Amino acid sequence: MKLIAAAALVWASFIICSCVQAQPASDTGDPGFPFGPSAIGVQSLAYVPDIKPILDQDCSECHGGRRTDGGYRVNAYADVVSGQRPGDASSSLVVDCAPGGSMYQYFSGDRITKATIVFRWMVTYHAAATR
Amino acid sequence: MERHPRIRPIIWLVFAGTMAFFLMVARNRAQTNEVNVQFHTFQDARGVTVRSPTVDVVQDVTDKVSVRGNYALDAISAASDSCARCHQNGVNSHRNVGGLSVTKKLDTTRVTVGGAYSRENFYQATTALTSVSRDLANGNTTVAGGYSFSLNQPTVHPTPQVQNQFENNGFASLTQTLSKTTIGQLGYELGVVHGYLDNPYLRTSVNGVMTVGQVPDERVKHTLTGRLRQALPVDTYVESDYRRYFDDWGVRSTALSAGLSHHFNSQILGNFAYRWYSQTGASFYQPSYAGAVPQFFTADFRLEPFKSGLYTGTVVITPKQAFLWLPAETGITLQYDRYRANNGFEAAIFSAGLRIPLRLRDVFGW
Repeated sequence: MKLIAAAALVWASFIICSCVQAQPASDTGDPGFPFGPSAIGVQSLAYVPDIKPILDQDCSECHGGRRTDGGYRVNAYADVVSGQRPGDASSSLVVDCAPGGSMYQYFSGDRITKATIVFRWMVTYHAAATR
Repeated sequence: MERHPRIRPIIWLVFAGTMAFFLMVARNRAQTNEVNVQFHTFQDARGVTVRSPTVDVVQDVTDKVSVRGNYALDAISAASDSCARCHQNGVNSHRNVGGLSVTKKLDTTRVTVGGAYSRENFYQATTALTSVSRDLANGNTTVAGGYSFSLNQPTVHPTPQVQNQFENNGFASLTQTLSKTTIGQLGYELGVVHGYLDNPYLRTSVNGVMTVGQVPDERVKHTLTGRLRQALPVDTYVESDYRRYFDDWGVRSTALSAGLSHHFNSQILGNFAYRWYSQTGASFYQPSYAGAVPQFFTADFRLEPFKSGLYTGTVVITPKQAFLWLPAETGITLQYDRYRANNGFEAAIFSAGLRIPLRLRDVFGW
């Protein structure tokens, strides 16, 4: 009888273990500058004033007009956010534009600042269209 | 993966060591051999759930040489606040930990050499260790000392940059049997860490701008410990520990713990323990910074002043007979930990473990 009770105890413990659920994270605030010190401030970021100029300058050659290299276009806001997950740094635009990402090398000028702007726009400001 | 090509020789080294271990085991008659399998789950108030199977193998190769190997896998889900800041649904992760050590017994002296390796998302650690202990006065006194070196390599996520952190630790201890029912131990540990010591995942508000902190690139740590084990009548034991820590970052901490163990019968052991902990913050710690930026700044919650309490209740059941598919003398451990700190951090840990004393030849057919 004791052995059966012990066995039941073991299985109950495993069941209890498997029932433990994670609580949602409580600190989901501004992630800050993920790539180090940056020239940009803490103002909100939006597509029209902040992101479109960068994409037009550095990305549209391969992802604009009729070109859709990699199946991705930056012609309009809808194209840019297509397939992205606003608020999530796993979005392909963030990953590809980050240092070490496949598109980072195509940024002109201050790459760190541009990568940080893209990151904060997508993650902190949820890919806002306008301010 | 591709970012860490340097670990391949280490993996081969561990693989070769493991194969050598099993060959030695297969070739020699074992004196003592055990496979311990444990599983535990962990949840804290910051949204982290960890489930871990652990395998620990102990093998006496000869009557003077024993080998110990262990492997653990932590499956981490809904990873912490640090992840949730940038990944809305959290991030699943896992951590692999493996270790191998060999102990040689020479009369009253034991020499151990070994190593360990762990790897998780954006962090890996490689450790080499050695220790010596010697029994004196017919075994009533034991002196021990040891040294370990760790190369810790955090990846400064979200960049692919890998940083190095070098950690040296040395310890010495004296264990003395004070009476037929009392054992005491004194210990000292010196740790010197240098290299990249920032936490790339925690942010600090500097004039309203969230940024990675800046801490010194060296830290010297001192730890003093005292332990007392007192046997009482009717199979009851009192355990009390004291720990004093201080470092050159200004952190001072004191920990006191006391516990009571009781054998209800030959098959059931119960334990209850409480641990009180208090620490001062690092000299440069602030929740946020305004005005002129100092040379060092951090809002790392581990460097803030706080106090905490930890309650632990454990039951170990060791049936003498085999049951289900498990052999006789299998130990079943159920443990619940409740941790609360005055900085808002709370954790509830439920652990369930099976300690299975298997012969390796039964497992592998040798």
